[in-house]
Amino acid sequence: MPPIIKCERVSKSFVIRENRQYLLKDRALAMLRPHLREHRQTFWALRDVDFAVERGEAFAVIGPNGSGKTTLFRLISGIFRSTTGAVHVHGRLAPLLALGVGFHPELTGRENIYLSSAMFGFTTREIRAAEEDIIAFSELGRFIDVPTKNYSAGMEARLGFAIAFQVRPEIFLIDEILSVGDEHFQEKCLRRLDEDRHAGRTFLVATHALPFVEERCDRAALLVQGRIVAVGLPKDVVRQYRELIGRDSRPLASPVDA
Amino acid sequence: MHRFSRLIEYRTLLKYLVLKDIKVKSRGTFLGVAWTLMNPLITIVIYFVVFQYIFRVAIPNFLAFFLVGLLMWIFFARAVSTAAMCVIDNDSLIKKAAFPLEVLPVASVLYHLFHHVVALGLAVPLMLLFWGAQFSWHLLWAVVILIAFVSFSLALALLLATIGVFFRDTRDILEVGLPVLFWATPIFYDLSMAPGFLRPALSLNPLSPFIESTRAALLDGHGPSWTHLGLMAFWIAITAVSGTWVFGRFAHRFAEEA
Repeated sequence: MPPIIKCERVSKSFVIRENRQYLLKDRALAMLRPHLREHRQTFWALRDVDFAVERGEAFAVIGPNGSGKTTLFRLISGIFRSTTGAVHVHGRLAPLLALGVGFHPELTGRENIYLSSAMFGFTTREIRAAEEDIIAFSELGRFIDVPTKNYSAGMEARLGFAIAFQVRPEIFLIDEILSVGDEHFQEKCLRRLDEDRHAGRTFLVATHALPFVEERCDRAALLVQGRIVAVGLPKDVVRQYRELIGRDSRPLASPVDA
Repeated sequence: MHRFSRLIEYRTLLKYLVLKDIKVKSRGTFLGVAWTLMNPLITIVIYFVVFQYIFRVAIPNFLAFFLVGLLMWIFFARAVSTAAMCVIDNDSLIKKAAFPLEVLPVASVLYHLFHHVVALGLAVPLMLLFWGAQFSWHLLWAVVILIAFVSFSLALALLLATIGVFFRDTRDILEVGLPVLFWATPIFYDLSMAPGFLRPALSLNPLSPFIESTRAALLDGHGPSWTHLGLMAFWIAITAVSGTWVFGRFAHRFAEEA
């Protein structure tokens, strides 16, 4: 059986523009005045990233802020297209790159369940079937019919999580969203995650929570400046990462970077 | 065709996006959806008084005559200006969620179509009862032309949504361009009333055949001329081919550029 996610020498470049010409007017002017032209520079966010995730595996991607984790996840979920190389995904994938994706503050929690779930491709019938479970998991009770603009950040995150877990795809793509909510809710999320793992679902997680990587992941990859510098057992990769941070004597990355 | 099938798959998202806009627009307001109709209503009264009683135009059933054109114009102008900005306005969403991006321009058009249908539901019975519209089986043509007009607007919405991502002054260009197009559109006049030197330029306006043949079906009780049918088919074909091609060609860059 082929790996469920396979990245073959994936590279992604962005064009960084000085004098960014968003306006048609600017482009027209630049034709007459060369000094107004855009200065373009190519920035390689990912270089020759090559790895595979097996079905049922929990795979962590760690690395400092700005190392390319989010870009990698956007490529795998199809939000970006790779500049060179190929990404293969064999299964239904839910990108959980943020919590409460698509929430509109004027809508109630319940209405946002429908809007946000539809972004994952669900039909009304499927959402209706999951609605009560989502509300129960979020523990929002009667607040579910209150506009989400009146929610605290924690409440909104809970609802976001409840929706995300209800998606139940073959592959979870989780980009640093595990460190929200109070302790009780976090434990509940981890229990749910373990359940999903036992059910054979695949996890690809980008995180700064190193204990989580060591305790719950099967393998890990270390991404530094767009390149994978190590793939292997979590404890080895985490050790390498710690050494790297220590050597650079850079401040530790914050646990949450959205 | 592949893109079309993805739209069908995400029809639920389309529905909830349109519902969101309708709910958000009317929530916390006293008159709700009526506000969206209030603006055209006041415009209609003003134009009617000015043209009927000050300019004393000699067009029979003038109220119904210009109402047909004006309502179609309002739908078109609102739909294309919203669609032109729909990707930019959802920039944070499209970086986090993986869904077919064509739902955004399509949802913008459908949102305004909802108001257009409500407006027609109020205006057409009045036209038939009091304002001189003809009750005949040719009214079916009005429905067919409405569908054609919506297709034309959808295709143009795809095109403008793409242009809007790469040229941020699209909004300003539309703000200047739409009023010019308004007076170049046969809303208060008929192409046959225009002097010979203007007529070729005015018949290049893609909106003319749609408005004039709707008027023919509602007011004169006859079907569209072959010229109008040909022109409508021509404009739909041109915009549909270019709109879907351009959107399909550039959609994968929206998340980076927006």
